[in-house]
Amino acid sequence: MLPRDTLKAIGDFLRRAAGAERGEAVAVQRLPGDTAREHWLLRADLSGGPYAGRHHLVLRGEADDGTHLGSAAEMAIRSAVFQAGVTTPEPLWVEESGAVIGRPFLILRHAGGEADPARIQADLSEEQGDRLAFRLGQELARLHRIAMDQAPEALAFLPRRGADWIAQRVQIARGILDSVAEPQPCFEWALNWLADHAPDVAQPVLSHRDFRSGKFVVDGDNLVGILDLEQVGWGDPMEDLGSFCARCWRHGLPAREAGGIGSREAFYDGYKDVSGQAVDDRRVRFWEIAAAFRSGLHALQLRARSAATAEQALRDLLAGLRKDEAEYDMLLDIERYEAEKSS
Amino acid sequence: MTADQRSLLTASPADLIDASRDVLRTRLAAALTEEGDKALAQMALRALAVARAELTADPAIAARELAEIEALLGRDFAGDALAARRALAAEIRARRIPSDAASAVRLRDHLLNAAAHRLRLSNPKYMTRRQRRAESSY
Repeated sequence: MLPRDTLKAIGDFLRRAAGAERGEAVAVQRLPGDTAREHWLLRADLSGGPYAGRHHLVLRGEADDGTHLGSAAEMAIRSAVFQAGVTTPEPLWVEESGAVIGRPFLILRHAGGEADPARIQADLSEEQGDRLAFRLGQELARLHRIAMDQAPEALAFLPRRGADWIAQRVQIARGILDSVAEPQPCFEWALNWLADHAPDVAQPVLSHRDFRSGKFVVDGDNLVGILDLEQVGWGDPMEDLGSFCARCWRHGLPAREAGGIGSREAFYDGYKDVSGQAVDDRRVRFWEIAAAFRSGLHALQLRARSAATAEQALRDLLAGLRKDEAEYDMLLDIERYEAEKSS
Repeated sequence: MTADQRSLLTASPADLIDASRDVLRTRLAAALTEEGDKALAQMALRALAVARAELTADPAIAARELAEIEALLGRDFAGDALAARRALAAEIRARRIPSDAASAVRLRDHLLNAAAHRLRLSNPKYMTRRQRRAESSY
């Protein structure tokens, strides 16, 4: 649990940020699921001011590994996404100095619900799954309304997508391949193919870039919120759809092509319902192959990293085996992609 | 020394793994009450199953994989499969594999054969879930 002094400091921060007369915070529990940062569920009682009353909030501590977005940048992204109408936990305040708890943090409204893909799947009938897939398609379309060329000033820090983005991604991927001990001919071959077939992106939009089951919370078949926006950047809107439909993220229900949740048709229909534009299925299929590549690359990294405990070592080694699934998926899906081109 | 101990000492690595898996599954895992511990036991059982599959894999498969790479690159790697895969990866990255249709098909077939072989060891159920082409001679 958080020390009493820390909770007092958080309560004082909330009072100031909310313009309240009094503020008190109680730590309910530490939330699981993110190894890079601390998440605490707080119960806050505020007196006076526009936020008077009891609130359930999440304190999201900034990661200190230097590879994640800072809290101020994340606040800007979350605010832009929330204001675009995406269902996501409302970002309330940011503490940038680190003076309150020893590191910067964000305060978000708590979005209760279930995020575990297997549990979500277990509770969904086919009809409910399609309904949720439709809704998720709508949410992505709302996110993609934020175009790079008309971006709010607050997002100016996001790297603009230039003509060399393919070369940049190839360089990053090759760096990862070079960091693992065993040579990976299949990944080298797939990376060449991806670089050769990457679509032109005429109008980059704000993309989640890690959109898959596990990245949203639901209550039954109702969407409560889209999570994990720290990888957001400018990209091809179809990349998010491809990531969600990729076989590697269907969590044991491959027939439900949209994230193991619902049908591809329902998901596409939801996207079209908000965007007004038909989904480019072929482009989505390309990004599904790219998602398999990314998941395989991640598996290789897990297999190669040093684990702190025997339990974590076992988890990493088993997760590393998913590299074999990724290779198989890439090879068969590329074959199908090319067969469809020539037919 | 009991008869059971004698049989263990003369057992193959696969037999030792099988005996360990049986004990883990029927005695140890069955006694666990915490969901997290049960999940961990299942993970350990799966790891042992993969190790057993690797141990008992047909050595001719690895030899065929090496022969395919040697044919693709036109080089003899003197039985060093790791060196062969490293050379293949480097040639692909440098795009030095001939790009004519026949070479492309041979390379893709090799990659698919190798991937299918590894997947049969690490997650055979995954393969059966996918609609497959009759791709692999392995």
